Amino acid sequence: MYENSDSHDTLHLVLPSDGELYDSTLDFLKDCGLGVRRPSARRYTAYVPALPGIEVLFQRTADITRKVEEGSAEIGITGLDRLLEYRSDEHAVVPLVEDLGYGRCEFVLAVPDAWLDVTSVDDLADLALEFHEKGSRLRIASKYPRLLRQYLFDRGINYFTIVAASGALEAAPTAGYADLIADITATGATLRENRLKTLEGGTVLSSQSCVIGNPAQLALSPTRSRLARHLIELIEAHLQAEPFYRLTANVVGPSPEAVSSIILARPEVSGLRGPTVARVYNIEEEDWYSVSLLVRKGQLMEAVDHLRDCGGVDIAASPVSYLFRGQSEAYRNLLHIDGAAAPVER
Amino acid sequence: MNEFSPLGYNTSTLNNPNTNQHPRNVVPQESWLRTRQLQDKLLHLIGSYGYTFLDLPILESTDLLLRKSGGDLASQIYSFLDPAGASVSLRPEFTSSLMQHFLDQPEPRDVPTRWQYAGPVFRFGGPGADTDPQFTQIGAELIGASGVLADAELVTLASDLLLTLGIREYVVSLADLQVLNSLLEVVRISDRARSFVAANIPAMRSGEESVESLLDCAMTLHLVGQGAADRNLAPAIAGLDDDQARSVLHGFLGWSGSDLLQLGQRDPDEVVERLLRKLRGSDDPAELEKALHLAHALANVRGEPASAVAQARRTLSAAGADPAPLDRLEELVRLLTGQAALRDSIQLDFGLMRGIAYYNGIVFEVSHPASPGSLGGGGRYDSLALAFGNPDPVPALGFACNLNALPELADGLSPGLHPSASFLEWPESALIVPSGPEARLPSLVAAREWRRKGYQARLSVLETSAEVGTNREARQGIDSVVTVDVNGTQTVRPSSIRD
Repeated sequence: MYENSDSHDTLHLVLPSDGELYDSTLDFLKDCGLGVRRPSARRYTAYVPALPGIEVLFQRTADITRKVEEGSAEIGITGLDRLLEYRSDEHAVVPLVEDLGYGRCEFVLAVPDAWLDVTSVDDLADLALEFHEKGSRLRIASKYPRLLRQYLFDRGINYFTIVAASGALEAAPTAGYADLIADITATGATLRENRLKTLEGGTVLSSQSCVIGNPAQLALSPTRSRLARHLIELIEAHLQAEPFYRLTANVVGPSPEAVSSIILARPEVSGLRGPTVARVYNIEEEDWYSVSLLVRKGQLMEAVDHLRDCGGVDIAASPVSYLFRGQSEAYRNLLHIDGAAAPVER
Repeated sequence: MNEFSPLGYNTSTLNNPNTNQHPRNVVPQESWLRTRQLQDKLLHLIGSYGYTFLDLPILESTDLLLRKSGGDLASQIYSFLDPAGASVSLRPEFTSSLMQHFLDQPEPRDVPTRWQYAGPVFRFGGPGADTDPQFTQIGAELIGASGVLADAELVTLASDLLLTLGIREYVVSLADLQVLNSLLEVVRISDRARSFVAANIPAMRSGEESVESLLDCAMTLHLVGQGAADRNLAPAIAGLDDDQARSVLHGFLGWSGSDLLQLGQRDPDEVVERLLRKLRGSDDPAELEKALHLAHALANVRGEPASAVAQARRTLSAAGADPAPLDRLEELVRLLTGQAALRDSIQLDFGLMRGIAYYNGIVFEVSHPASPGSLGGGGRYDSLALAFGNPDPVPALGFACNLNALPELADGLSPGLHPSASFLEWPESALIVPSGPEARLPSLVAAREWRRKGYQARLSVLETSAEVGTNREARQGIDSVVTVDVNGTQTVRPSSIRD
């Protein structure tokens, strides 16, 4: 198990110690078959029994990008918003798996409800100019000044002051230290309760949890690189498997070719690349074949009916734990390889 | 295939953590000396026009830097918080600091003031940009003179910078934003719509945007018509006059805020006014379309000065616009092309719209066929002082060029020469005074001659009666006053004041 904590070959995985991301990240890793064992709730280290050699460190979500950047951990899980806001310009930290499917939120601009004349970002651009012409500046409270600044510049909004703030930003316009806010929201309910409204085109970033890594640090140790690859490939394969069920059924027919051809009559429910058909040997010496295929969860009943139409019986559906593609996108990200130009040797 | 590269990818990129960093330009001694020599030579030339050197801080208040340029440079500025929490930036240019310094002088301020500067400036080119974020700018600013002779002096100086380095095939492209303003006077559009038209001239010229697509864009910006979000509210004020409509909208505003109206720095009247303008659509689409067509026609006028002036004159005349700004530009062209050294380098380009947000008169750009982009440029920015809180505009114009682009174009600079410290000193100096407006060109020519003889020759550029009334034109340090008449005849007398 967990013997190499001081070794240079230990892979350090940093996870959120606080907030909503703590529980959801541990649940997610468990679903990936990478359950984290924390010896005590007071300890800020843990391990992953399924992958010996990994040491888990718990840190505040806001600090995770920096920990990976400075090299005290090589891999981490955090929000995409935190990565993009906190990483340095050198991009020492890169996203390896960009969407883990949880921790979704939006970073949005919100203005007072009473600004009846402001409904879109174009209005805001106009208003910023009006403020400037009067010698004042639009004040925007936000905890992500960097993302916000770039977003506004990209839309030609150049006159504004960002009031750096944390905590209850929604109160900023009422408290009087900002005119509007840019904040993270999952449902928009808190904004509405504070008489703020979002703007058309005013989503700065749609964010979710992601796996981040420091390729330069990983390159220093082959063992860490191997562990990192195993970790991210298992996560990636789990995510890729999630939308599918494996279906098996017994179908009677004159030959494997004949069975596969009736199944392939409906390509959308006949597997990713078509069905696998194998002979079933039975006492009665009838011509039974076992058909196996992957179908999207939303098409499960459609596929079951299709198999029935083809004479299928004993139809079993099971979840797929992992689905590995021919190449791992996450591993390509780790190697900084551009999709199209990647050299693929076999 | 090794253990940690199971897919056979090349892992060599992993070992270079600097792949995404900006290029780091380290300059060896030989190049540094060459650039220094070039810089000294240019500072000497600008000094010979009477411009004194001013060393300005590299670190400035972000707020000061953002007041200029309509925020055009905002996205390129390196800003950060100092330990006391104030926002400071590395300077992206010199003009803001210079204007602030001018306004900091106790009144009455010396006019004209001529300053020159040189030093590093910093501009972020965007993530992964391969341009150097640091480069050296050299330039000159002439503050306090509004006349065409001041414009001529600065464009002449810009040309001379290249000529003195042996660079011949350069082009100075020139326009005057007042010509566009004059053209747009004939249509009834708001100031906002006018800014919109001007800002889109480069896109119209390059063919990126058609008049039709810009009209759509004006709709989105609520310059004309209504956005989808407002269509529901518009019927509520249909048929009402503006005062009645304001009452209704104030009513809506009261409902939306109930007991506590939360508006930030805005007051209810501002919200209602802007909403009314949005709902009504403040500009007539037909007038805006006419303005765009006129601007489109003017933006595509460029080339050899005489024919470009004639073409622009036809455009103004067809629209019924005031030709006075074009007359002024024509006079400027005459003053420039009248100088033999500049004759073939001057082009007009009415689509030139650099720094539209703060230039308000001539604008110009210097380029060379062997160098991508512009080598430098400048223009007149009389309103900048307002952005710095001055109650009135201050006539001012400036020019700056990128020193790093010049060495490879320059001939005749021998490597290995050491810069000298005496390049900003002249044994003798002269003030060249035109006897009247008709003597402008002979004065420009005379000033060149005096400089060639080794003098510092300052041109007397104050032309309007208001300017001459407050004339504090520094005669300090002047040895001779040279009056030049229309025939170029010079009368030289010793100056009565020497320091």
